Amino acid sequence: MEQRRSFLKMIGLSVLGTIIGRAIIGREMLWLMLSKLTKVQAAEAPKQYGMVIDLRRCIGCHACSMACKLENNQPTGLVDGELETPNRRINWSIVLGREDGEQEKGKYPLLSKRFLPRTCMHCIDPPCTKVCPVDATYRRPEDGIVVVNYDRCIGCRYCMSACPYGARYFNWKKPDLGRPENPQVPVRPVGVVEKCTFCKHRIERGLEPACVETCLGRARIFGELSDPNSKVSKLIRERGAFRLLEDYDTKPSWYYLPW
Amino acid sequence: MTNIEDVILNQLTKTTKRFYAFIGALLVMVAWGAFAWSIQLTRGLAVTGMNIPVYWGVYISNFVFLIGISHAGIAISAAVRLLRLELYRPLTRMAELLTIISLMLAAMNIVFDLGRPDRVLNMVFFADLSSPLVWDFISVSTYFILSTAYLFLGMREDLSRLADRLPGRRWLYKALSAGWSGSEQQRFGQERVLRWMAIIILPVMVSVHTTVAWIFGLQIAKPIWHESGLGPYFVTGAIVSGISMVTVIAWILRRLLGWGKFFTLEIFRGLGNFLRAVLLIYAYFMIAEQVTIRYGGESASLEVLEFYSTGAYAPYFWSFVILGTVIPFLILCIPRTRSIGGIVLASILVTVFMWVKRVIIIIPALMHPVLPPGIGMSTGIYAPTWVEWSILGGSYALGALLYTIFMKFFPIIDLEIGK
Repeated sequence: MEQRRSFLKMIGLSVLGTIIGRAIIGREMLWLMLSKLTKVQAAEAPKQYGMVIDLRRCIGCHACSMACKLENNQPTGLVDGELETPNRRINWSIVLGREDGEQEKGKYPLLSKRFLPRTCMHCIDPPCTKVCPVDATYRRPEDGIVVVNYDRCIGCRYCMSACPYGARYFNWKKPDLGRPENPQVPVRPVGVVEKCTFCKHRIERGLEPACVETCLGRARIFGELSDPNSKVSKLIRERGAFRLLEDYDTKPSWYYLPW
Repeated sequence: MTNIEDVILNQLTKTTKRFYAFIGALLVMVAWGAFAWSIQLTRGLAVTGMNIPVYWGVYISNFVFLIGISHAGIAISAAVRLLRLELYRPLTRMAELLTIISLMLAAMNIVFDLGRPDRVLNMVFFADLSSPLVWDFISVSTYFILSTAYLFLGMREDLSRLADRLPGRRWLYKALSAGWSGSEQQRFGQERVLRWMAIIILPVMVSVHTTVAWIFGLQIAKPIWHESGLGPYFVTGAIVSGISMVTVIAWILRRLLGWGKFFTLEIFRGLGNFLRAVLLIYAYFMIAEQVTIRYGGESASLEVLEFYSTGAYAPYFWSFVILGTVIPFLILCIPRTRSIGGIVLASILVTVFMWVKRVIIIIPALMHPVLPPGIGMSTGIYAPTWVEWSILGGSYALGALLYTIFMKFFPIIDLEIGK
């Protein structure tokens, strides 16, 4: 009898707790907490920047990667100390490919080579920002750029594991540029994660990202996806653009025009 | 029956040379680990074997293993209380202590893995509820606080008795017993609190390893992890490794202290039987995983599965299958080998190879990112460096040190047994 009474008391208390809890934090807060546990549709940004890559124009020259390194204070890998291996380099922008010849198309003399440049996809539904335990990486609500707060990042590398595109890089050691740094971009400290910022410091001054400006074949087109009349929006509509790993429903704002 | 109580108390008062030598050896190992960590702190994680795309290495694998080890302790203790399994009473405190120390080591392993250990408190100040890592942080800290409180409350009576028996350390035990008088009312209240705590701890325990599994299983970018079964799979593995670790430690205490009358063959048989059953469930999960992925043939998962079961990691995988499941299972089945020695041998095999299995779960999946790496980059290779091994060794030595020191100050067996 005594036991049953205490059991009922327990149930009563927990119901009461729930009611009081809801009264204090409110229905909206409760919904917010619940929605954190599930995949939610990303909020529509007033402005959404995006990139279109015309794959037929890409010649695989890596000029974009080099321009990116210089613009954004990434070590070039030429100054490596004993601790640097190719697998620890920082390459915000990179040209994907395999060395087993898979990227070749056709037979001699009608032979072409295919390349797949990639940086951060600035997904509209990014898997990386969701897993960050300290909210150090987030999608900027004003223009949809996914950025990292280098002062808050704890370096757990969870976002790197969660990103299907491998677009995120970690500072395994203290960065050694071996050249004067670009003062507009902070040099990241050891132990934090970094990635492409769409050259936000250039966009804010009305310039295009460094990779777009450098591209020899003019394969990169940068613009506003949110504007249906922009060049990028038109190209996407007219040329049957695709995105990388669309199955994962991350909604990248990077589009490729097919070969 | 004060005889038995004296035996337990002897352990607290009589200190041999061997004990000091053991503590000394552990301190040397801890110092070596600390030295290795200082190197990692000054030069960055570049001194480890981790790279792109193997972002996580043995620290995280070891974290998963240690969280698993933490599972058996409180589970045994709570089960003993709730189901009144008086036979296993001698195991309760040593198992609870194992839980608490392995949780501390697990938390340390996370800190080793961070690029910025100086910012670890950001996990509290800026906790973002959408991250499974935060769920895990909440659930592990709840588990840690509950377990510590549970151990402490269960020990108060012993502490007050120690205050009477050992006048030299009276002040310590008196303070820690927190006003225990042993009155009927106090005893009744305490027992009720502990029962409720035992009931609450069991689901929290399941949540702990489920959220650990979800750190991995909720990522879409790693198809082999992205399975609904990962939670139960991890929980089962945790119970397997936890039970076998408890068996090993019970055996060490039996041998070192000559406590054959507390840790009896019957207890080892019981642990062995339980281990046998959970091992079978674990094997079932593994077979289910193999069949699902191989039959479906989804390329990203299959690539990882083949890498570890028939590719480069096959030696580790098959040594786990044979030495970590089949042979222990047979040892635990055949009546002739179900001696204490046999059961302990099986437990040692299971513990060691469950560690290997944790590595097999974590690292091959990271080695195979869904997108090919850039030109000039090799695909995933990973070999831990001496820094990683030293830090791991040092942290285990610290765990052993804490365990030993605890045993020097507090009875590792409930004094109630003496009654």
